[in-house]
Amino acid sequence: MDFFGRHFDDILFHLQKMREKGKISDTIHRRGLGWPLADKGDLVMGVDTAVELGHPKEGSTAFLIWTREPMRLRNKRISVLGPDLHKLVGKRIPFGKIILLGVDGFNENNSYKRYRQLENVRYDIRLKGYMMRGVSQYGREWSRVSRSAIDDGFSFPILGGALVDRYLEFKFVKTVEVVFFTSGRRDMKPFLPIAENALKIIGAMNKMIEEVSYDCDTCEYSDICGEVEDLRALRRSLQKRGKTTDA
Amino acid sequence: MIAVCGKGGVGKTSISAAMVRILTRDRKKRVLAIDADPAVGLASALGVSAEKTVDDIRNSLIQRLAQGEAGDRQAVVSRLDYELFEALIEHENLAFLAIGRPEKEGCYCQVNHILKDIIASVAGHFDYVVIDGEAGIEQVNRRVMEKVSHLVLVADPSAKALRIVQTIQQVAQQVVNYRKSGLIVNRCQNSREIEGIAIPQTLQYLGWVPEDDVIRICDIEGRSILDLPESAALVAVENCLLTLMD
Repeated sequence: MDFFGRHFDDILFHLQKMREKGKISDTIHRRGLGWPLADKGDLVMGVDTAVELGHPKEGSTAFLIWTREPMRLRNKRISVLGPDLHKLVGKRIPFGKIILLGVDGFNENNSYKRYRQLENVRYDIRLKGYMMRGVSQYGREWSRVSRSAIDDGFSFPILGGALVDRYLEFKFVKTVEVVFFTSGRRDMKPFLPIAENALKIIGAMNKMIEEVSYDCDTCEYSDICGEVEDLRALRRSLQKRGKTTDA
Repeated sequence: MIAVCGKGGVGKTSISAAMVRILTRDRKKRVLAIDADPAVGLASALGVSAEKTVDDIRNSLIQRLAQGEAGDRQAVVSRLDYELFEALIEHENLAFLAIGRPEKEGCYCQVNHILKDIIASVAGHFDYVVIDGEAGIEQVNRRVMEKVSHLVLVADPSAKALRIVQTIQQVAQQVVNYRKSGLIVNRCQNSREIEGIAIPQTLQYLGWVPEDDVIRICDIEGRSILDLPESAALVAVENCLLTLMD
């Protein structure tokens, strides 16, 4: 199942353009950067917050997509479009996060289950001084970084590194890139329609599996299924089997 | 972790709100207020609005598990603390969490167990936790209050209220591992009234709180205790709290 070929083309193209303009700082994650873990999700109250990312009033976009061509990605690269956290102290900013995964072995039977596992990774990231305050099914993510974490050097490479390590624990994930956006809506603008489209594809997949509904005439995702052959293939496979894919 | 219990109508919520007010005065301290009373009166007393309750999270979890998310059970449970974070309402160094409506019929023991653990885990992030309890002993019986360290029993000067707090303490001694407990006699007219009350020997007496028109009007009007000027009642609650924590 390769839903996102076109999206990868567009994202990588726009990122490259940004790199050429010097707007992106890249690091390659190495294991063992070491950051204390919080036992459960760490709670950062508003009064202790140094940086608030993607507050509902500022907006955010966070999504992940995968490709069956892992070599398209520079494995373990963490890219930041905009300032890093220590330069954002005291601010509440719009925020973007894109996870790009190079995978293998995705098919009609396992795509949904694997996607859910990958989606849940954000709940496994329990770093001291970092808190996910709120997550929505519409690709929004609101998080906080505490003052003490910033003072101790917490940064996007550290956060991105934790995500990279966690994704690579899945045998079917071969390469990972993480992109953070902090420079504001203007730089995020080219990526927003890509995000919207990707989230629609994921919504269509979720609906097929969760609602077991194949009534395309009334479905709000019929247009996106019309565009993405692999979604139609998934639907055919489900209709043939007459049940959801294994969970 | 302070739990405030007692008969209905004795002023538990006002006492809880007053304690929250006192504890949050030290801006370096982080205080969690938990409204465990289905009436969700503490929200009003603190001037907050509870949009999402623990009961909402619980019902959603039960529904998801019943719909066969068994394969995702681990994932669903691992997200619960995040769902609780979302339900927290913050105001400076105060966070508020409402438990919500009483349990519906049926046994949700496992779900309640999971939630209790997670509430305890969230509470662990705070310097102080104040729980405004449900009226009566049922909540203590249901072991919701297991992790409480300080039990505050609130009565008014009536014999009935004092009998109920004695019963609450007896039950609590079996199921709650508290370090200290104490009795506050609320809504007293004056010191002569308190002298005429037979305080049970089994209860440690923390003090009495006078009837306070300002708090009463604040309660009627649904205003926040946090915004009130200092009053004799609030000073009395502070003295009781100091005795409790001593």
